[in-house]
Amino acid sequence: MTTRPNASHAGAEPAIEVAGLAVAYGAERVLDGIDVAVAAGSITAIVGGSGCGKSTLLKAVIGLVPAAAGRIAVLGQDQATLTEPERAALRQRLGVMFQYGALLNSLTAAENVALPLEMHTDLSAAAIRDLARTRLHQVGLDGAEDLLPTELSGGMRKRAALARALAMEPEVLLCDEPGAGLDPVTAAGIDQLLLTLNQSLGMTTVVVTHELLSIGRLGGHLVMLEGGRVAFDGPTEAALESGELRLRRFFHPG
Amino acid sequence: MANLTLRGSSLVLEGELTLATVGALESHLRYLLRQQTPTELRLDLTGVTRLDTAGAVFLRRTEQLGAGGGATLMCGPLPEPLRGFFEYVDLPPEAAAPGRPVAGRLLDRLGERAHRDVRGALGFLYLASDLTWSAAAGLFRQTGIRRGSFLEQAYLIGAQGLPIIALILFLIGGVSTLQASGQLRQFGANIFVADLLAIGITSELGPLMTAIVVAGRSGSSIAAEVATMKFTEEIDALETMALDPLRMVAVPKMWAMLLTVPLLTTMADLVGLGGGLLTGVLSLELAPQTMMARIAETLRLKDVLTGLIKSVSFAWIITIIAVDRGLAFRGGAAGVGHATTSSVVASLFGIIVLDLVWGLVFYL
Repeated sequence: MTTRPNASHAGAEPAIEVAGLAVAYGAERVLDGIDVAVAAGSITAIVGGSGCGKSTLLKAVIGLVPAAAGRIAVLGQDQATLTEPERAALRQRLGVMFQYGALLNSLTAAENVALPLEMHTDLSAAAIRDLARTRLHQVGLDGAEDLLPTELSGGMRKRAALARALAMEPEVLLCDEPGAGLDPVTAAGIDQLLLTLNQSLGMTTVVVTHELLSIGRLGGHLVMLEGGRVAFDGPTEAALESGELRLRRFFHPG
Repeated sequence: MANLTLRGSSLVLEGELTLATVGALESHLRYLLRQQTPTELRLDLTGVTRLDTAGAVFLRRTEQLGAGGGATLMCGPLPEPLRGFFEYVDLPPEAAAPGRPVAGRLLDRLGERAHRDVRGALGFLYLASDLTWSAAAGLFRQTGIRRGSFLEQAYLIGAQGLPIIALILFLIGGVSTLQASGQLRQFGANIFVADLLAIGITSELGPLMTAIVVAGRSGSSIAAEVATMKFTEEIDALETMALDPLRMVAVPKMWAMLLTVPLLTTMADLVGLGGGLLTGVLSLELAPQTMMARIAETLRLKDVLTGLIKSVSFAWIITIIAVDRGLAFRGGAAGVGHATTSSVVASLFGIIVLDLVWGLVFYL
C-alpha cells in the first residue's frame, strides 16, 4: 500500500460498514442480508445487473431510504441512532452524485456547485467563484459556468453533478453511474479525476457502475450484487480473473 | 488547523490548508495586508501539512489577493509530497464576461415585445382551432386517441370535482339569499329573494363559480401535466412514434371538460338553489312551499340554457389555455410552476371575457 501523506484518515476503521442490511419497497425485498465494509481511503465499485439493488444500497447508505433490518455505519456513525443535526453534519462529509445529476434547475452550473459552499462555509464570494470554476474545470466543463441545467447535454449534467458532489471536499464520495452516457475520452478523464482525488486526498470513493472499462481503470475493490444479496466481495483484479460463472458472465458477456 | 504569521518579510503558513481553514485564512491574510506597509512578501509554505482542492485554489489566488492589498505576494515551495497534487489542480483563467447585448433602444425593445406577443397570440389562435377541430374530428375517427383516457379524465374532472363545487355553490346560494334579503326587506319584498336566486344562480353564479373552481382544479393540473411531459421529452417521444400529442393528450381532456363542466354546472345550479332555499326558510322565515313555488315560477328555460351554453364555452377556453400554457413551458421545475400559475390566471381572465360576451349576446 502506498503511503498517503495528504490523506486525512488512514485509520483501519471502515468508512462504510453495512451489516445484515435489508431494504423493502412494500412487500418486495430489494436488498436482503447485505454485508459490506468499505475501507477508508479505498475505491470500491458496486456492480450487478439492472434492478439488482445497487442504487438502493447507495440510498440506504446516505440514509434516504429506511432499512428494514440491519445496521449501517458511515464514518463510524450509526445511521439509525443519528439525531437530525448529527445527520446533517454527517451529510456534509459525504458527496453524492445522483444517477441523473439532480442539479437544481433554476441555478446555473456554477451556482449549483457553489450552493453547498455558500451555505456551509465561511469562504468569500470570490473564493467560492474560483473554487466552483476549478471544480467545473476538473470535470471538463470550462465555459459552461453560466449555463442552466436545461441548456446542458446529459453527459454535461452528470459532470456538473460530480463537480457539485466534490464541492465540499467530501471524505466519502458516492457516485451513481458516473460514466454512463459519457464519451470514452471524458469517461476516462472522470476516472482519472476520481483516482487522483482518492490517491492525493485519501477520499473514500464508492462507484456504482456498469462500465467494464471503468471498473478496470479504477481497480480497488469490487462488490457484486445479485438478487438483493452480495455475490462477490473482493479485489477487482481477482474478480476480473475469476473463473466463477457469475463473474465470467458479467465481465465476458456474449 | 492552520496558522498564518508574519516574520520579517515572510508570511509563514503552517498546518492544514483545507476547505475548513481557507475561509479564515483568507480574511486573516487580508487583515495582515491592510496592517503592513505594502512591500514584497514571501509566502513560506514549508509548514503546510495537508492540502485539498480548496487549499490549492487558495494558493493560486494569493497573487491576486496580494495585489488587492497592494503587495507583491510570492509563494514559496510546498513540501514535496503535496506538490504533485498542487500541480494537478489548476485554476482556469476567468472567461471574459460574455458580451451582453447592449441594452437596446426603447423602440427596438417595444418592437421585440410586440413581435413576441403577436406570435404568442397567433400561436394561441392556431392551437385553439387545431384542438377544436381535432376534438370534433376525433368524435368520428378515433385513431390515435387512447381508449379509456376520456373516461379517466371525466372522472377526475367531473366526479372528483363535484363535492367541492357543490359545497361552494351551497354556501354561495345561502350568502346571496342573506344579502339580497337585507335590501329587499326594507321594501317588504322579501319573497323576491326567490326570483333573484333563481335567475342569479342559474344564469350567472352557477356556471361562473363552477368554471372558476374547474380552472383552479383541473386547468392547472392539465397545464402542469403538459408542461412536465414537455420537460421530460414525452411530447417529443409521442411525435417520434408518429402520434399526434394533441390527439393523444389534449383531445380526451377537451371531451371530458366539454361533457363534465355543463353537468357540474347543472348540479351546481340545483345545490345553489337548495342552499338559498334552506337559508330563506331557516333565517328569513319564508314558507318553503311559497318560496319553491316562486322559484319554479321565475325559473325560465332561457336562463338555464344561457348558463349551460356559458359553461360549455368556459370548459373550452379553460382547456385550450391550459394546453397552450403547458406547451409554452420553458426551463425546469420552476417553469412547470410558472405554466400552472399563468394557466389559472389566463383562464380566469378568459372566463370573465366570455361571460361578458354572452351577457351582451343574451341580455342586450
